[in-house]
Amino acid sequence: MADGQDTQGDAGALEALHPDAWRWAVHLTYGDRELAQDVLHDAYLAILDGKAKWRRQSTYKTFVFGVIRMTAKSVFRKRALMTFRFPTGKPHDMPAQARPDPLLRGTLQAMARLPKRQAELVQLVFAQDLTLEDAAQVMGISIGSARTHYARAKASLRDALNVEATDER
Amino acid sequence: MSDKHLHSLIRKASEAQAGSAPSLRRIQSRSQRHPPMRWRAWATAVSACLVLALGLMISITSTVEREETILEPDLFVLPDPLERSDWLAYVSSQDVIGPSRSDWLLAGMPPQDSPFLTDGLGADQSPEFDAFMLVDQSGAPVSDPEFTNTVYVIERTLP
Repeated sequence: MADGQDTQGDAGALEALHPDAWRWAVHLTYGDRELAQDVLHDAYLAILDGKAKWRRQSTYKTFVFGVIRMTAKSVFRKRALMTFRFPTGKPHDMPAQARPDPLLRGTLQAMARLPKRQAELVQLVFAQDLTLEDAAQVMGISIGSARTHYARAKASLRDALNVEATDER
Repeated sequence: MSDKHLHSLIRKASEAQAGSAPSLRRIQSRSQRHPPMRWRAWATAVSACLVLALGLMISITSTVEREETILEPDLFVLPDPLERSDWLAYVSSQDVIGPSRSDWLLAGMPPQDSPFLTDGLGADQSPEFDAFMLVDQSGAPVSDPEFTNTVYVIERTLP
């Protein structure tokens, strides 16, 4: 990880974060890989050109993830203006070459059914190993609010996955 | 289901969903794709432009009309037989004016040698006028004038 180690505009730091950033961008774009590439392109440009400045008030990863999230929102807004199509949070798609087992598919579907904030928190904390504080910072919400969303998300996921596990048996 | 199990499941699901990341170089050299504007977006943009243009046209037209209404009395031209150096033309600036002569504003052609005749000068304010008489356009005195936008001529009597 490049957390806090590299300076603003360091391409090496971004390279170290790139796989995680990719997963985060794919999550934010509801599994649209083409759109995720556009988002990352714009976010990396903003960071490398210095338009987004890391003020060292958070880890570098938190900063980069925050930029990616803001960029995704901006890309969605532009697209919605151009096409009159708003992201609806449809169930997450998967690459054709990587059809996972039914439990993973069920997990993704359960995540897709979560409210947007809860899904983002789960993604940041569980899939990206961020602390709840860092996740709250990425999302621009208070830690108290993050805790509430996190607890609700976990409860919903447990319910959904237990039901699916029971169904499969 | 424990937190650890949930953690592991979500991480694996997230990795399966994202697949392998394209190279950083590919991302950086990517040029942004712009989706084509759909017909509804075009229709909205064109309608907005039309509404704006229409609003602008109405606004300009009403302004011009208002100005024309205001300027109308100034179109007065002194009739030829009365174009004498000792005659002055006055016109009301209001639709209905009171009997006071101070309500009259200068609008006609002043005699060339009258230094006091300036635009907007009230008749009563001119020290050179010690007497007034309203006459109609044929030169006959008007004893009971209707104070409307009608143009009257005031005869000047020099001391």
